[in-house]
Amino acid sequence: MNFSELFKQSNQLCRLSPDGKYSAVCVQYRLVIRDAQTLQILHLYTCLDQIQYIEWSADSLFILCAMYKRGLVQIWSLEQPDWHCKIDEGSAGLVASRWSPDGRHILNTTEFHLRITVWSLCTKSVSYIKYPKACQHGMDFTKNGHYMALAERRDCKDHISIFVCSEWQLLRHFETETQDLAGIEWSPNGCVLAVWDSCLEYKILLYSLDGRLLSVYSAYEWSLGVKSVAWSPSSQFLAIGSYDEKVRILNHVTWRKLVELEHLPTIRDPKSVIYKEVESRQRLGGEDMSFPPILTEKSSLFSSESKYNMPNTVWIWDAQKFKQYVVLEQLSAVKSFQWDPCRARLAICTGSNKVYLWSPAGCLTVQVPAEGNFQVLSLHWHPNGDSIILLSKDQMCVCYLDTADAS
Amino acid sequence: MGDWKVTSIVEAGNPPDAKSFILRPASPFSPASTITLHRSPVLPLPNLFNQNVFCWGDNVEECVLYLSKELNKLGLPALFDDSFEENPASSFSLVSLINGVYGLLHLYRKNATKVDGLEMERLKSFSEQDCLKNSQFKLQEQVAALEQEIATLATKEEQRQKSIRNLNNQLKSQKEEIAKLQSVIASRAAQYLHDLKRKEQELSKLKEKMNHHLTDKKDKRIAIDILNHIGRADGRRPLWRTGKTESRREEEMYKVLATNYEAQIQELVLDNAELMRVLNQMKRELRGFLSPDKLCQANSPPSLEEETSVNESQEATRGHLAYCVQKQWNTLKDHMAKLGVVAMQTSPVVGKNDHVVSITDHDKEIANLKLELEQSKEIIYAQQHLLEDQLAIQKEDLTRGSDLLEEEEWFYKERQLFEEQSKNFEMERQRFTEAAIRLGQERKQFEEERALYLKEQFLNLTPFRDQRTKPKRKPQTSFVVTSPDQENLSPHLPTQKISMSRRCQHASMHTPSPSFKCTKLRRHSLPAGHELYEVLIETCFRPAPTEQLKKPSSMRESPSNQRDSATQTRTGLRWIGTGFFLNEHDDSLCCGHLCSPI
Repeated sequence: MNFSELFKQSNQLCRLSPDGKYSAVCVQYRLVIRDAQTLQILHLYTCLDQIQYIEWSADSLFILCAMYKRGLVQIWSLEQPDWHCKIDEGSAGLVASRWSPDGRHILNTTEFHLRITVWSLCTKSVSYIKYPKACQHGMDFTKNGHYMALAERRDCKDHISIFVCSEWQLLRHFETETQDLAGIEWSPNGCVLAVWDSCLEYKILLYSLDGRLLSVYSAYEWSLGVKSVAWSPSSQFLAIGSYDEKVRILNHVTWRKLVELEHLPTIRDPKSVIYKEVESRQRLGGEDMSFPPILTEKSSLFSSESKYNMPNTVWIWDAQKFKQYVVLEQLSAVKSFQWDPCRARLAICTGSNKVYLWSPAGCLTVQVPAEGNFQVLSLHWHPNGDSIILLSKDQMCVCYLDTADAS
Repeated sequence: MGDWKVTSIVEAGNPPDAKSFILRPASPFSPASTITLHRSPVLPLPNLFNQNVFCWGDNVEECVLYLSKELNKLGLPALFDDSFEENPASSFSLVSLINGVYGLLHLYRKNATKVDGLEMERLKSFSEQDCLKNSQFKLQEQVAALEQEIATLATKEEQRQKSIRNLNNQLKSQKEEIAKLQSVIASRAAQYLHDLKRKEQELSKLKEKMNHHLTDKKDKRIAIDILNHIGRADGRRPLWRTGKTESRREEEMYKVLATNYEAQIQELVLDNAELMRVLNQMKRELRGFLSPDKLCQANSPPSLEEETSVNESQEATRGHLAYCVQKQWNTLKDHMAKLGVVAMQTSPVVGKNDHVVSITDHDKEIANLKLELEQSKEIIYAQQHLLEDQLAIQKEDLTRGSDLLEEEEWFYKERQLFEEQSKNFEMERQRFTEAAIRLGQERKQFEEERALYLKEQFLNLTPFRDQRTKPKRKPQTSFVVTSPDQENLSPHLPTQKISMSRRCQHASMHTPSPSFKCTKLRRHSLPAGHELYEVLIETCFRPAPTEQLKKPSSMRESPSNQRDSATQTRTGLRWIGTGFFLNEHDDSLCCGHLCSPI
């Protein structure tokens, strides 16, 4: 395991290009493009203001830098460093900006979520989408990039619009049965849209691509409901994490609960392995869930989540048997964790100066060799699973893993 | 029995006879009665009520008549012959009398037995009565106790009832509360929704307004500044948005959905097939397992039939298949239950339990590891114990030594102290002895000098006065002068002074000096020459003896200087300066007492 030297970054904006060749790092108002392997600076772009968000286009040819304060979006090209593009939202303001999956359109959300402006880089044309909903996951693209689902709010009711991304044509527009829509997510196969209500009510609605309601699922009433939702990569399962410290997994055939996974403070299953970071134990956390990619048919799937009340714990479940597999106890609250894109390997960071790796073979703790205090606040895997970018408050570091290093 | 006697008294009417009628006792056959028949009827008055007298010679016939009547009444034949009507006076028959008596006797015996019986019965009844009374008493007590119990139980029941009522009330109140809260929640929810709607409407209005402004303003700033267009990702030209494209999009969407569903269906079909296969296999295996058993012989034929039917049309008999397998499984379970635990242990389990094997392997491994852990723990404990024992042994030695050391130290200290003290005592003793010697010597000297003095005085009385000045001017002869009252006061003082002097001269420590005593002594000293005396003291007790000596010598008259100094040097070193002072006016030698220097 090798560590690169430390580089400066700001706002923890450090993204790897989807093809894995480049890494983009923001330093205040500069954008530094580096080669992902050698970390050699390839390009250096200067933006007009402090960059608050960067995103690579899907084909890794362009990168956008959003400056919310000034309402500017600047787009840079990697092939032609001279090429430039600047989108100014002016008085409309800017709160969010993102690429469309084809890499040729920019979707800007104006201030107060008044509208979403779709800027085309091909035609310089502009489209407006009114009444977008101001919620956590109000917009989602299918994996193949053909369709976009957008949550809207009209007349005090939630609606969903499905657009065809190639021409931004409205395909379907329907009302949802939610009180206050909190998020939407496409299944990986792009056929089912999961819609969930705010945490005041536990309600998950499943709509088909053509807008039909397939199923409604509600585990209980009168308590705080859904916190996070994750599809399995094969679209077979939908995992719902809720505030009652349980994860419920629905199957895609009947959309009924398959299994309920409990996260208990005391673990009674003798088969589950617990890794504990040395020294004290503590409690409390956030419920995020993620599924690792399907590796082979033989390997078992894992889903890992860290619990609401136990932020120091990461629970890894065997997705084949839906049994508790491993529990990782950390010393401090888990800041983020991410599955390796290629294999069943989990990287965790807790804000300490160590990065924790878990794989079915075992656990590994590596201290970042850095002068001074390097506290890992977030991490990103390289698309090929060979390296991890570790980000602290104002520095970044790349950790290279040997492919043979499985544990 | 007394009645007829009374009546007979009435019938007789003869006063003397009447008096003689007496109630007879129960034995009318007593010889006394027969005797009275023949005796004289006249009896004294006291015998009026003598029971033995019924008949006397005169009233025989009457008596007989009477007796006969009575016997008739009693059911016995009369005492008379058949010739009674003819000649009543002589019809008396002894035989009949004897018969009558016999009959009476018989009657009497009967009555006596009756009476006995009655007595017995009476006694029995009395005892029964007692028994009954006792039992009644006991039962009454029981009744009282039971009543008490009943009372207590009743109170308990009341209490329980009360508590039940309370709980019911509480339950009611809780339910009411719940209902109330739910209604509150519902009303609040409605209220919030209403508020939310209102706010949203406001917000949408604001948004509309803003949009309006934005679009109206035609803000030139909202623009895109792009160097040059970039091509589409897929390289194709964009299409116009027409109905055709829309429908095409719809088509595409439905295609996607349809393909997805078909894929799902395929998967499900495969799953289904797999499950069916597994079920069939299970069924076959179960059948194979159960067929040797007599209990399941009945099941086998229908299952065979069902299997064939299943093979033909799977969908129709899907439920049947599951049902059939379920039934077989149930019979298997019963069978196993019957066989019992031992059978379960020994009977071969059908191969559904592959995972059990792995579990036991796992368990075995875990058990082995645990064993190893235990063993190693034991080893560690044993080693620890041994180590502790060794350490303890070592510790013991050390502690023993240390104890002794302590004791030794203590002893050493004590000995030191003791030696010090003994030294001190020795010193003191020495001092005291020396002091005593000195005292003796000084006493001797004093006596000598006293004698000298007296001699001188005596001689002074002579006209050879001038020649005696020299000896007069020997005030510095230092010797201890103890005045008688001083001796009384402080016999220790001289010794103290000696020791003090010693100490002063030897530059040793000072003893606490009884200065007040000195003052007293001073008072004792004669007033004349007081100053001289003081000076003497001061000079004599100055730390530098040479100076000491010199000064008084300077104060003295010159001719005696050398000599005085000589004497002083001789004596000043050794003696406390005490002394005389001469009152030159009246030539009286005053012996004073030098006080201590401090």
